[in-house]
Amino acid sequence: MKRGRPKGYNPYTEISYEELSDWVGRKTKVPVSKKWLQSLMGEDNSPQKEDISLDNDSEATYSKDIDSKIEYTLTNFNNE
Amino acid sequence: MNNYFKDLIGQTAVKKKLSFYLDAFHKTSQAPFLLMAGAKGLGKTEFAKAFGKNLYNQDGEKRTFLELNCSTIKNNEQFFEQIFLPLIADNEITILFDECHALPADLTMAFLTIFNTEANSRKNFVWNDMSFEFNFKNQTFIFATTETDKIFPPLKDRLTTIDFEPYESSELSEIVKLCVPHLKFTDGVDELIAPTIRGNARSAVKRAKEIDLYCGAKGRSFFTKKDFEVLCDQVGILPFGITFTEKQILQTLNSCGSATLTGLAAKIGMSKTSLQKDHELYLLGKNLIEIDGKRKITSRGLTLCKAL
Repeated sequence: MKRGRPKGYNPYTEISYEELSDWVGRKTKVPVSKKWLQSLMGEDNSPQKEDISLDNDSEATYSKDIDSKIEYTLTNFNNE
Repeated sequence: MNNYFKDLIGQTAVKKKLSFYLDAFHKTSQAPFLLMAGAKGLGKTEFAKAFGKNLYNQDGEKRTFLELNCSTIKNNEQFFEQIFLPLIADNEITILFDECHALPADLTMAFLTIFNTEANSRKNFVWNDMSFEFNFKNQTFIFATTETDKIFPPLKDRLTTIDFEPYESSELSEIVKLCVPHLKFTDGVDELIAPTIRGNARSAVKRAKEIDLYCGAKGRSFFTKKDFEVLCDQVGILPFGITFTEKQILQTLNSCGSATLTGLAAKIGMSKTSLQKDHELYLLGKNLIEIDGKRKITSRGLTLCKAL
């Protein structure tokens, strides 16, 4: 039995930025190839690159975790 | 031995073990790190609270009891910031980590260090350049879960397990009566009620509430066999305490002879996991079905099916 992708299969599809923004809005982060972005912006555009780095994103999730409240109940048996 | 748990029914072995640790606590001011383990509704949290209620601070005041739901703890930082520093550090307190199988991995690792105390009652835990002091004479730690297999084994090794057993029919009957002390059960109706409770204390409390509502609506102070028949019909209480889904499983197996788990899940319209965890185990425990490669109804199940 043959395994893997059929010949000519491509996991990517094309959509214009204008049409995509109709679906996800202008502020949604869209994963793109690092190399492609670097070639587009040049090597020195580090602040913009940081915005899309995975590390930065997981840090955001982590700080969100710290902000979320732990559920607890405190009982004082002396008041019962 | 002192009777610390006189308000709680059943769990004789648990009571003995916890009483032993309470007696020891009153001499040494230290209790082991306990792990309450057992199926849902058996009273793990209730016993942990009752245990905590019998712990006293050095000034003779009853110790404060903090109950945490571990599934809401995300990481070390959140725990030390929100719980340890404001509530535990420098305080005399009992802490119950409920659903402790859901502890995050980094806190589990921290607990491995913290609870590795040898004979010492104090432990300094250093994390992120900060030092947190644990004093086990002032702080008592209790863990509880239904899923002990999901606790990291080295952590489980550091805890003293308290195993909970299913309740006897007579104990369930006692729990029901204890919950509605203002009601009188006549003509042996309590013997009919107990077998319809699903083997745990929480179900007994629920059944007591239904009886209380029934009697309250009728302005009654007593409950008879006839009343129980009416209540069963109204709120859908089935023999052996089975649910309507379980009734459907029995009827399906009765009509088709036997079925695979996938086949049965498709017929009932539920996921396989839910079918296995929530219903099959109970039916197996009651000897109403059997699994011999395929699911089959037993003669006991057949008799029940005809009576339904």
